[in-house]
Amino acid sequence: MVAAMVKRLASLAATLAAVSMVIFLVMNVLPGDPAAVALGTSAQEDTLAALRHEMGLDQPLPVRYVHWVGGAITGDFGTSATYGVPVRGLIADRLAVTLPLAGMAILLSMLLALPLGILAASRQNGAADWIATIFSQLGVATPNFWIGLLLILVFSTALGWMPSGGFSGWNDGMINGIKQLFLPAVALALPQAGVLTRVTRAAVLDVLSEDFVRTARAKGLNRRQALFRHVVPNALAPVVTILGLQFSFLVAGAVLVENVFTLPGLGRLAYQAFTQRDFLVVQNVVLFIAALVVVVNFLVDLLYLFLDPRLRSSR
Amino acid sequence: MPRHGKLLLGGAITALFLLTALIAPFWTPAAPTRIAIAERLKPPLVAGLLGTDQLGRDVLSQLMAGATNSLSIAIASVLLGAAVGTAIGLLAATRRGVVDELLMRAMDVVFAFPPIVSAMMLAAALGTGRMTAIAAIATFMVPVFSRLTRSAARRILTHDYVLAARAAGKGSRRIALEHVLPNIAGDIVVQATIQLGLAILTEAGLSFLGLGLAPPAPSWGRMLADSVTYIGAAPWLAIAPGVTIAFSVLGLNLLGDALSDLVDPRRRQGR
Amino acid sequence: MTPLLSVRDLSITVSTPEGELPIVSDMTFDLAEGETLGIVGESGSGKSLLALALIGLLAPGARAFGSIRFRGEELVGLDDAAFCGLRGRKIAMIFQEPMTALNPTMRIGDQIGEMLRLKGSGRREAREAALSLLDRVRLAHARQRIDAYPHELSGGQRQRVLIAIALAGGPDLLIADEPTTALDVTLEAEILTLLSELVREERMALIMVSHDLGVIARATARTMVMYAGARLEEGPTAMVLGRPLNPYTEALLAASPASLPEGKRLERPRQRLAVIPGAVPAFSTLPPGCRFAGRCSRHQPDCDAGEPPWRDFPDGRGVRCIHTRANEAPA
Repeated sequence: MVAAMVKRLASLAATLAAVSMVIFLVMNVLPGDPAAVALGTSAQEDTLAALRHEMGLDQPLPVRYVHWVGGAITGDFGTSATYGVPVRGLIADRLAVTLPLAGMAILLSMLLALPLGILAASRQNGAADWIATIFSQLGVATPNFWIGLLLILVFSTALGWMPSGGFSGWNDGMINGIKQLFLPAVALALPQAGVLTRVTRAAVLDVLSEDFVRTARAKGLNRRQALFRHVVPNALAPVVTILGLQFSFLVAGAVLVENVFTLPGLGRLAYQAFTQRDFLVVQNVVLFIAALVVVVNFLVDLLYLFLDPRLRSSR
Repeated sequence: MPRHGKLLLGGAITALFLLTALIAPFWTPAAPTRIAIAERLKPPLVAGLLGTDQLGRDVLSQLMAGATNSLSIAIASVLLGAAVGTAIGLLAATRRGVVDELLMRAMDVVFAFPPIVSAMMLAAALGTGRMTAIAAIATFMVPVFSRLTRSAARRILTHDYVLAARAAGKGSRRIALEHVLPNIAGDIVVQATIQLGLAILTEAGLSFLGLGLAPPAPSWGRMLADSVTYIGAAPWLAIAPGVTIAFSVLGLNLLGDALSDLVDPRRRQGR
Repeated sequence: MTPLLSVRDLSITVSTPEGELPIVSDMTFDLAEGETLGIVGESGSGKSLLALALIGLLAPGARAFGSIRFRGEELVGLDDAAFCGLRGRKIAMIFQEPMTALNPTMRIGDQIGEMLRLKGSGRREAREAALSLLDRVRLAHARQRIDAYPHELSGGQRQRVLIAIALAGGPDLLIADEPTTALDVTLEAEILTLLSELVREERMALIMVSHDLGVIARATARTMVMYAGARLEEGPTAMVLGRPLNPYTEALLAASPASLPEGKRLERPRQRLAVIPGAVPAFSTLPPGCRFAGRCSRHQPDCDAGEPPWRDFPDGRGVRCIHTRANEAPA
């Protein structure tokens, strides 16, 4: 167990290092000059040089990389050119929106998908199965930002029940914050739930045909007891795996949905920094998002150890 | 859903989508980029089948031209991603050992970048446009195809006829090309069909953010982005492109599912 | 006295793409309290389906007709809730594959004590019960192994755990479907000995389903021979194996070493029964007459005239074959 943990931690560190190098190389080596892109084509050579110096672009690459990563590890991401504040504070503020949003979306998608997938599998070809099939096919095919638009159209424009966007912060109370994040979370959750429903259904069907389910029934457990005590726990591992893999899509979706609902989240920060050509912020937010994806997948790996005792004993 | 039902529905939607993308460059009901301020924000059927946008452009014509752009970017990125990914997967499966380990770790690294995020990064370095969009979407597909190819290839490499070929002195490159690739082609085609749907969704997201094609080239994602301002006055501008995207992706997914059942009938019906 | 189990005219159909096929037909037998019955036949003879019908666990698409009475209570058509009251407590079953028949994510002690816990026993109480069951199935170091996960045990140990699970409810009838097929010869002997001892100690009746005459000979007092879903012969095991009445039983025996009937000690290589020429007919194209006619060495034209009737003899034997005359059966 400990050895498995150490091995996974080492691999996590290596992946994170590689991720940071990729970001650095793309942002600094690809045939493109961030300073030139930032100033536009009509920039004077001396202004360009000044900006390059300011951005540290005139120093050797390895020095700049070490400087950047060293700062990132200690929490110093530099100062934003457009916002004039430390990038660290910017990211922290925006996380207070994006993390709850992602959390709510994951929760909502699980609340929808797990019961629907389990029900569909336990009554194969019944009405629930058909509903689950149609729901997951539509969910997978529908862009989340469009769902966001439709939700605004129905619940804000037509019915006036919910705000059409914006976020006033958590100072006005939890309930108010959750209410403002609810529609965006639904928009993010529905496509996720589509994928998750499908995977849950397939996983439950797989486990239902296992011999140990018959053993459980022969003991005297009824269908329901066998389903929830034996089938579902064994079907969770693949569901959790997909949840981890989908996290990457969830983050990508957050960038879009935050823009639809004008939420001041991490994705919108990256997008705004990009449009304002504040590449230091882009570079750091991308690092942060990629690291988040890697860490979440690492945690899913650990959860797997917890869910399946067979993996634990690979000493 | 019955297997042939999926195949028929998915095939029909995909055929309609393909046909539209092929016809649009030559014929649309109106010129998709023609601006007519006098005709602006007309509802469906009042002006054109699906109405007009804030500049008086015909929505149906824009959707048709958008199909061409969307599909060409999606196909280019899936081809690129599948080619690179399959090559990496084959290399990892035949070389094994350190090469395998390094390549697969590299795929983990690539997988850490959601396509929208890598597009922003690439656009910061290279500027926006068709190539950036294709590169960003293709990058995300490389790990998908390399993992698929690697696991399928490793399965095939254990078969007797491959061992016989190896014993006959064939090198690993020839074995990969002559024995492995033909046997996993079906899996790759199925995956490519499904990834095509994902590519269309991603392209729509990129152009929604302005990271895709530059205006005035019609694109589904930007039509949705433009519709936000007029969502109260002209809801059809938000509805038509979304339905088109969802419908196209649904068709490709259904087709992919049906093909997957055909390639491997033993696989549990995915639905 | 009413028998423990009384099966009358039982047939089981399975719906397939070719329609409803009768996999088991015209099945009739009795089982007394504490009696042991072997059901033997090649794979595809319908014996496992019969066993599943007895415990009410037929897969969706399979249906039973006729009558199964357990202590007088009709089981055919019994709803699942009522059947759940019988399973485990009155009728228990152990399955073929010890590697897959246990839940991989649950400790074995919890799997044994699960029904007790669900019926309201405390954690301590259920654990003590599981421990004593593990002792009863002679699992070595039970106290250390009670918290093990299935993958930490060997095949033989897992089969013991499965037997412990089956015993947990104190059943009156134990159905064992090929319980030793997945095990090697030494373990097979150990498990069969254990089962015989347990049947005696717990005064359970046993139905042992197997393709292996050796297993049947060791573990059961009566034997029924099945072929293509029908019984061809039934009687005391020693007599059925010693002086078979049906040519199919003879063929089965011929496929095993000659020393078999007397030999309670089975020192022979494991052997499948597939050495009888030909194959079991498909259920969609059963012959008009005797089901075994196509492969029978004593086949005559009148064998194809219609399905031979089942005949009972006064000495407790029965047979389905038109060639068997009453005087062939020893008195």
